Amino acid sequence: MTGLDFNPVFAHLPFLLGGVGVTILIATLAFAFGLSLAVALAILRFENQGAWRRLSRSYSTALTNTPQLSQIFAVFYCLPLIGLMVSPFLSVVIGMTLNAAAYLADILGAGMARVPPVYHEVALTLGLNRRQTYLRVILPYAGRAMFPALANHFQIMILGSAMASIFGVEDLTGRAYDIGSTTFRILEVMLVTGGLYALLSFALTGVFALFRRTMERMV
Amino acid sequence: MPYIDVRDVCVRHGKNETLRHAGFEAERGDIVSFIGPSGSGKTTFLRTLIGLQPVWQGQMDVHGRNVDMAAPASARILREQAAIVFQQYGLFGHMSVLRNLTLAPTVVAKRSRREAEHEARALLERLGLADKADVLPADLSGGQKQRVAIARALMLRPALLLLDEPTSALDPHKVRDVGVLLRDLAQDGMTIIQVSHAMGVVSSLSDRIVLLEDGQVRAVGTGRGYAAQQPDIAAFMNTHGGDAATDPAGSRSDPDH
Ligand SMILES: Nc1ncnc2c1ncn2[C@@H]1O[C@H](COP(=O)(O)OP(=O)(O)OP(=O)(O)O)[C@@H](O)[C@H]1O
Ligand SMILES: [Mg+2]
Repeated sequence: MTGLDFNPVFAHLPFLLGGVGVTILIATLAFAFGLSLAVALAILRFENQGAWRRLSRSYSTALTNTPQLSQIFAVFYCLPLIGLMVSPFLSVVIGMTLNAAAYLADILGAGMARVPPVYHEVALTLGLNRRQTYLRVILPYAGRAMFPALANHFQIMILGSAMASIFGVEDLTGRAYDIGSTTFRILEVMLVTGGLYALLSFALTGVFALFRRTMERMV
Repeated sequence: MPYIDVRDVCVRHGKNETLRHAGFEAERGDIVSFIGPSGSGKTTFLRTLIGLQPVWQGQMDVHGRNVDMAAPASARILREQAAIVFQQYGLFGHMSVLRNLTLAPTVVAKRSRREAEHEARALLERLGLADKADVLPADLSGGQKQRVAIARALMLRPALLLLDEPTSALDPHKVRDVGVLLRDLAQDGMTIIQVSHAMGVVSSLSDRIVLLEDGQVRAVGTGRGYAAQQPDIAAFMNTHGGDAATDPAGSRSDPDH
C-alpha cells in the first residue's frame, strides 16, 4: 500500500463536478414526474372505496417492497420488448419516477388524511369546484403538512440516483467509475465522490429550510 | 309575501324522518334562531338551506324566486344565495387570513385580486381584525377565528347568512360580541339564520324563534324581544336554561371588559 494520492482525482475534478448536475437532473425529473403521478394515485385512493383504491394501494405496496434497482432493470429491458427504444438515462428516470410515485403517493395520502374534514364542505359552500378544491385547498394543505417527508424523499432520491451508473449513465457515480478506471485511484475517487454527495445533501437541507421559511412568509 | 319562505322540507335518513314538513318565514334583515332538543334536526335543517343536506322535498322562496329544494340543480342555486359559518370555522390553515377571504371571490367569482383584497381589508377592519390580515389562522384566538369565518362568508355577498352554534365555543363575553356583530349585520339587511343553544342570545337577538322537536316545527315566536314569550318556546327555554351570561344585551358586568 503506497498511501492515498488524490492528485489524479483532482485533475479530473471538473469532469466529476459535471456529474453532480446529471445527478440533480435525474433526481429532479424523477421527483417531479413521480409527484404528479403520486397526486393521481393519492386522489384515486382518497375518493374511492373499492377496486380503484385497492389498485392504487397495491401499486405502492408492490413498488415499496421491491428493490428500486430491479424496477429500473425492468424498465430498461421491458420497454424495448414493446418496441420503445429509450436511452439508459431515460430508463433510469422512468424507473425512478415509478418508484418515487409509490412512496410519494403514500406520503401525500397521509397528508390528505390530515386535511380537516370540514374543509371539503367549506370549499363546496364557497363555490369551489373539484379541481379548485384539490388545487387550492387539499393538495397545498397536504403538501405543507408533509413537507419534511417529501423533502426527505428527494434527498433519498439524490443518493439513490447513483444506480444510474450501473446503466452507463454519466452521473456523479458514473463519472467516478470512469475516473477510477483510468487513474486506478478507486478509493480516492470514491472518497471525493462520497464527500460531494454529502455536500449536496447538506446544501439541499439548507435549501429546503429556506424554502419552507419563505413559503410560510408568503402565505 | 315574506322575503324568505321555506316550506314543507322533508329529510330522510334511511327509514328515519329527520325533518318532517319543516318550514319558516323571515323578512329581510331578520335574525332567525333554530332551537330545540339535541337530535331534533336543527343542524340538518340549516344544512338543507345551503344544499349540503339532500331533501326528499321542500320549497324555498327568496325574494320572489322559487327554488325546488329537491331538484338536483337546487344545491347550486342555494349556494349562490347563502353562506354558512361552520361550528369549527374551517379556516384554511395554509393560507393567510386575507387569502381565506379572497380565495372564493378571485377563484370562483373571478374578481380581481386587488379589488377583492380591498374589500376584504375593509371587512376585517369593520370586524376589528385590521391587523390580522397577514397572519395564519392558527395564530388567532377562538373569537377572532369566528370573525374571520364570518368575514369569509360575507365576502360571498350572500342574501342569507347561516351559522351553526356560533357561540358554543366562545367565552361568555365573546358570545356577547358575536351577538352585537350579528345584530349589526342584520341592520344592514343581511338575513341571518342561526342554530343556538345559548338561550340568552336567542331571546334577546331573534326576530323569530323556530322551535324544532323530533324533526317538526313545534312553535314559532315572532318579534324581537317578544319571540321568546311564545308559550311553548318559553317553556322550552325555561327547561333548557336561559343563561344570563350569554345575553348580549345583559347587564352583567364582565371582568374582562
Ligand atoms: N348523516 C346522517 N345519517 C343518519 N342520521 C342522521 C344523519 N345526520 C343526522 N341524522 C339524525 O338526524 C337527527 C337530527 O340531527 P341534527 O344533527 O340535525 O340534530 P340537532 O338538532 O342539530 O342536534 P344537536 O343539538 O345535538 O346538534 C338525529 O337523530 C341524527 O341522528
Ligand atoms: Mg346540531
